[in-house]
Amino acid sequence: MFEVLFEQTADGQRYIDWLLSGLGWTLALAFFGWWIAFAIGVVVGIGRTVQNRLVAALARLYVEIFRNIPVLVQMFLWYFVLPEILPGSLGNAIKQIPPPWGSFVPALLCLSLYTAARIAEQVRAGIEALPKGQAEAANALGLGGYLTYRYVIVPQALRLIVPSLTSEVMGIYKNTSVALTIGLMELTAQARQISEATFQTFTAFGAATLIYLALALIAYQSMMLIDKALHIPGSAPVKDIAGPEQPDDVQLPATMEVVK
Amino acid sequence: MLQESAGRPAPPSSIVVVEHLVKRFGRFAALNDVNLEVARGEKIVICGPSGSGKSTLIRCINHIEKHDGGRIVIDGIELTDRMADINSVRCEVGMVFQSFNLFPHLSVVENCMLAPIKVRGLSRLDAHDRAIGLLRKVRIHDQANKYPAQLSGGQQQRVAIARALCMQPKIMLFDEPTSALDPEMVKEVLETMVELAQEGMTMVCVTHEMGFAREVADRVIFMDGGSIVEEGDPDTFFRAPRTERAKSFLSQIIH
Repeated sequence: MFEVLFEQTADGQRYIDWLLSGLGWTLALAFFGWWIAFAIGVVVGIGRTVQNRLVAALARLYVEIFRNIPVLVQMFLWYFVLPEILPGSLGNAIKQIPPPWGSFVPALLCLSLYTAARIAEQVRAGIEALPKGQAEAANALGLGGYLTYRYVIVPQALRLIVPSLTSEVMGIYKNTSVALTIGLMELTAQARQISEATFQTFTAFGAATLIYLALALIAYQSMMLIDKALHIPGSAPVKDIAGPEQPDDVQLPATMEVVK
Repeated sequence: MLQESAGRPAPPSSIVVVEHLVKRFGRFAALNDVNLEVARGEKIVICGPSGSGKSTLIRCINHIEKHDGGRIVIDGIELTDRMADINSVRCEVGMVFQSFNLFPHLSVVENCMLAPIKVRGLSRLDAHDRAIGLLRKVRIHDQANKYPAQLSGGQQQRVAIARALCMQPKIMLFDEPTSALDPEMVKEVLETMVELAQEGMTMVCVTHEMGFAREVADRVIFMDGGSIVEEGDPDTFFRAPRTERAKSFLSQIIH
């Protein structure tokens, strides 16, 4: 049923090459987006728990803004709205960034900042789940605020949240499909293009679906391995980390036109 | 302040000076005008019913709890809001908690090495040597590479003592160190504490272990309702307490 993927396209490639190119963009977006999100998320999550009220309030503001606006809207804000509100020349310069970077960079910003807000909440929950005695013991040994977070609190909190971070890894790579709305030719966009060129809708999206599923499995297994590797000897054994799925708050309107 | 201009003041004979200490939790006064001096090398046992403020008192001494009134001076440094002072005091004051509070993600020896490396600036090698030496002293060096969760409660508490000693503190605070232990593990921890006392360490212990108090304490302090109600040498205190409250407390804990 997937024979059509190996047929020649009008530009001399095969359809599977389109799919693989889309997969490449999906992976690049998810990979770089994840590490940016992780870095920001840890910092903001720590910010939510510090005693300095201003820092805590700013961290909270960040989380509330980026977590509560739908990904699709954020995507449009970065792509369509940001160049309009920037000073004329800068805005124009951004609009003239050639594809695919013109849509990759806003998509990367959007997904990493959105995912960072979600990770920040997990990090905060992980930190708050630790017994108070841990910070007290560290302080009693003369470790100041930074050293206490760096060597005592954060290493434990991150171990605690590996299972819920698994959902975030899966979340960010699935959300990459939203980038097709701002013209990034990632996996879903390529599947759609193949479907339009060949009228083999089932084959095109079936192949994309299988790839997404395989990616999910790989992400899940990798996180299981990480969880095992970070496991503290003598503590409770590693459990199956199939966390509850994040509610999918990205819904494409049925009539959404794909920007090409 | 004035003293400092005339050079560093000579270390006072009292390593801990607590004057008119007040600590409130909301409207509840946990400590009410507490005065306490601890001489170098002195061993003090604090006892009293639960909620009497004894834990709060020793937690104020290393600023784990922030006091609301009065003064605390540790080895010549007054505890104020200055973080630099607080951290330098904490380096000199070791603390052992009721719930051990070992760092579960670090091995036993790493627990002991963390603060000496990061706070005292020791090299890994020196910190390791010191840690193994002190773990040997508490007779647990053969478990150095295990993790806290792999040890019994008594072993964990002995590691916690070694971890505090690795900072080479001038004074050790014990906050009910044996209360969370199974009865058969209490002895091994108390033995370690007795040895430490015999070596001349200044110790302030919140504990109800009367045998320990009789053996090592120079002074027993009885607290109730956020105040020091009675103090004296252990023999007199346990045999003939002066106050009614101390009498009724002792009658309840000595079966």
